[in-house]
Amino acid sequence: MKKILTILLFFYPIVGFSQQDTNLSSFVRSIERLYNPLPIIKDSNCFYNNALLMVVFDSSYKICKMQLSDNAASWNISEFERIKRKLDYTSLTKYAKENNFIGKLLFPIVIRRGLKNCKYEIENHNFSSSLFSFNNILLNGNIRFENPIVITSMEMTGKN
Amino acid sequence: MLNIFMNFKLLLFYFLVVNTNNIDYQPFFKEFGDDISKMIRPPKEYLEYSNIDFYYSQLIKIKVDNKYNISSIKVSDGSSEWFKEDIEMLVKKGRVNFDKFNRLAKKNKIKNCELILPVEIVSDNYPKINCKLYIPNQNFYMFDNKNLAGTIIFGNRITISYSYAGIKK
Repeated sequence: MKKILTILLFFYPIVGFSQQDTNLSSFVRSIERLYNPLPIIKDSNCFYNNALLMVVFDSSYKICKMQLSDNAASWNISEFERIKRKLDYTSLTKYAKENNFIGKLLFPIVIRRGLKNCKYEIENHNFSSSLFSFNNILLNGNIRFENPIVITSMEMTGKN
Repeated sequence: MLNIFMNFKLLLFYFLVVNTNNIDYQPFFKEFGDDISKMIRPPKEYLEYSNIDFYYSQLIKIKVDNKYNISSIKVSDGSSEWFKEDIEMLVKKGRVNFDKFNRLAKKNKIKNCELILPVEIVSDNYPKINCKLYIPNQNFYMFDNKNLAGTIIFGNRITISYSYAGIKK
């Protein structure tokens, strides 16, 4: 009995998280393909927008919540709402199962337009503390950040 | 035997939930932020010329072990070089009062986690449209080439504002 408890306690911290990586590319690609901020930023020469997308997995590895961080602009939220149903979730759920991941997966979403030395038209909300909060609660718990999803189309980089 | 085991599991679950909910991390973050903000400085050139405005957004990670001791203080890979050097120097030269923060961690029951303190460093005229903005790069959420992961607690961001004369406000 003691041995069983020892084993359970020993493995407790890693039950919810494993470092093993799985490919999330189909989910990321679907965001890159569908997210379209161009109508909002078409008049800006330099534009920068930064938010976090949180995906929460429950104990059965199902997605129980998806949300943008509190700093997200209203157009950002409505754009995400528009594409939410069209996203490819297969790689996400597979990822959670294969990694025994129960917790919060975070995707930084960066939208930028402009050249390297661009003087950005800064929107104050981009870097506010609310970048790290969801419904006024600062990020906490079992968390894993993924690589940022950077949305820069040809139009947005001003190449055409 | 099974009953004892089930009760123990419930007790363990209750213990973990109650402990997690009772922990107040913000006094630690505030104290740490106050100390750090007194000791770091943006590059000299930014503080001497009145035509430069700046904005930096950085992350500091404080790892606390299971004995309430700070085991490491690191700056995210995406932070600017001068900021990394400043923090590394503070740690190396013993200017961070580890004893004080270990005591604070113990007092607030903070252990087995990584605390993330967002730091904003700005010139006194910020926000300004033509501000020289340090855009966080792809590595903003990375430490030692690994994406941030594990039991993580974010603190409220601290803002350090500098005037052109280099005197912190």
